[in-house]
Amino acid sequence: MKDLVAAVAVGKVDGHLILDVDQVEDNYGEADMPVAMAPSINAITLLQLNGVLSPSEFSEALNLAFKGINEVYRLQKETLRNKYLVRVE
Amino acid sequence: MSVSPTSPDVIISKLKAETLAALAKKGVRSDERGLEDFRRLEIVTNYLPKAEGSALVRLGDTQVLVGVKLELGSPYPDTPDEGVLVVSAEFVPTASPAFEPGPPDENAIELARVIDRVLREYGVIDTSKLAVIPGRKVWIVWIDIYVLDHGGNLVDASSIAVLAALLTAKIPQHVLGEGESIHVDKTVASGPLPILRKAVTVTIGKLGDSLIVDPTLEEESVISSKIIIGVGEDGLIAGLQKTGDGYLTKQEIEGAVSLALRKGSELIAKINECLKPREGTHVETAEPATTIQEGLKPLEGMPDNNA
Repeated sequence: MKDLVAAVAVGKVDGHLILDVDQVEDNYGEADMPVAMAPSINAITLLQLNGVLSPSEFSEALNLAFKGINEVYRLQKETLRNKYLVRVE
Repeated sequence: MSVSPTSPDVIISKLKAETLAALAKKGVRSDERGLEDFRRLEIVTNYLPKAEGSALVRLGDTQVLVGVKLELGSPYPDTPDEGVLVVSAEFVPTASPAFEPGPPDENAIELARVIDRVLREYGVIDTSKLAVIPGRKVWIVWIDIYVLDHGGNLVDASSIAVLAALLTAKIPQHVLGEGESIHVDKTVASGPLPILRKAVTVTIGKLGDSLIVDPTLEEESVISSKIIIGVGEDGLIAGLQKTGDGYLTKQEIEGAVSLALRKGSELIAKINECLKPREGTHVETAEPATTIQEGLKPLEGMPDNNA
């Protein structure tokens, strides 16, 4: 196993880029972009943009997605580690 | 949905696959193109006399025919004052040994959806001008994509053909009668289909560690992933989709997007050139070569009904 895959969606609502799009934001926003990646090997495994972004917004959106992905990735690892923690009396 | 033959459409030897990747690393391709070059592009507009708009596009060995039809119909309840856009794609069985007769398979549906998304999200067609009786009768724009020859990069060839067909499409003359009756005369045009802004797709493949533009069928069978980028005429990214099992790094995605924006504006310029009123019907441009024809020109070996 090379890495874990973590994913998050970035959106554009009322001209602002937002992280972790909820349903209302998805339905009424101007753009949404799901991104999945294996952070440790710098591999983007899924990317789809629905909507229109300028090149600079796209770059900003991608960085915002990486921020969210790293957070999810940290939680994934923490959860896995905690599952196998054994209390030694 | 019919069962689709799994990709790749062609199976090539490992040796050939390694050669293609090794060539790309040196910055060349097996057909002597550079990594960022499109194949020879040929656009024939108004190819189908009975359609409201049409275009035949030849991109290397790939051949795609697009017809645009306008019919009156009911609007969607949430957009009562807007026309309706419907995109469908058909992979004609003679286009590739891998295509089978039957209803559109997932590849045809994906092609239609990618094109539909670019048109819709970018607002290519001004659907607000397509209401004839607001809330009751609107124009339904049917865009039918027929893949006639599969030589790779169907998405870009289709997007070029769709844009060229839309730009030549005319709204039939229509007269409101008593009640809500509308008399449509398809032999007379009342005006062009309202186009707000132009967009095409640019497909970039990852071959080894290299990014290549306009992959051939052979290259498509060895690239690990593709990224299809919608490019608008004002330099905006009009949708994007990664396909394939492989992955791309952040640097590769950024490189692919800036390359796509550059190539996309070149493609739109070529389509504009194709539609410019001019003397003569044959225009040749510098490399990568583009042949532009207008009017009805039958394919070789097909009867010429206009002769």
